[in-house]
Amino acid sequence: MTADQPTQSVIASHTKVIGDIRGAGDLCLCGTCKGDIQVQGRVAVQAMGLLKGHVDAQEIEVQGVVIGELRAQQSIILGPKARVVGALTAPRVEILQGAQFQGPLETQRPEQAKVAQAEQASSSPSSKDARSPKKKVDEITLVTSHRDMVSNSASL
Amino acid sequence: MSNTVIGKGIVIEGELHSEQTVEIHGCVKGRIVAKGRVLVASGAKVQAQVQAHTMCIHGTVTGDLKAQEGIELCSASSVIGDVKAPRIQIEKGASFRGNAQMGAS
Repeated sequence: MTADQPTQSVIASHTKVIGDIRGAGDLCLCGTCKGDIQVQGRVAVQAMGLLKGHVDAQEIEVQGVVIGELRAQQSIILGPKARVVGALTAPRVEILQGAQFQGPLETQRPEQAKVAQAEQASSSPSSKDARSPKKKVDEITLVTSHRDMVSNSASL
Repeated sequence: MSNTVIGKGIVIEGELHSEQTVEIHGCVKGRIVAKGRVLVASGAKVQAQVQAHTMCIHGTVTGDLKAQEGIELCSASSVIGDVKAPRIQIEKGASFRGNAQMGAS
């Protein structure tokens, strides 16, 4: 019994978590979560899923609704039916056609983004102008094609 | 439809409400309310008040358990808290400390 203990967690549909989820392992959210998620692994918010809270994870995929900040060490993917209001921070961000997103986007590792924000805050007020062209366009992958092509481009 | 599974290594602090079965291999602190079955696997740690239709405990639970149908405390389980259900089964080897209340509530 101990050998096949799952490392993937599932919050099924018609299930609600009010509170924080943390730890190691992958998490699939098909239900509702009101609280922060902090895991060493992959977080997938499925089409039925609703999340009100922040996420810290290695990889984040959203097909459902998220209200809160998403921070990933590796990548964030917003699927074609994703609805996200908040902030995205990850070295690689994919927003598929049809996804709705509102908020700031940072294509850096979360800890680097924090440092950059702190530097901007501490530097002179003229940093306001320097802010907008700073975003490296080639780091943003905007994939509007079929899902299969996404997995191909992700492996590059 | 898949069940809710709290994997090994995952900690939930707060409330968990489910219409279905909940399987816990990790750790839950707070409260669990399920309309289906709650399974606390061996190695799992639950510090919560648990309400469900049926329960099967293999791991460690600290908190009160209340089931509409039945509660099974399997061998190697450890429960500290009050247990209330129409049917309660305590297997040989199970450790239990608390009040037990059987019969129709």
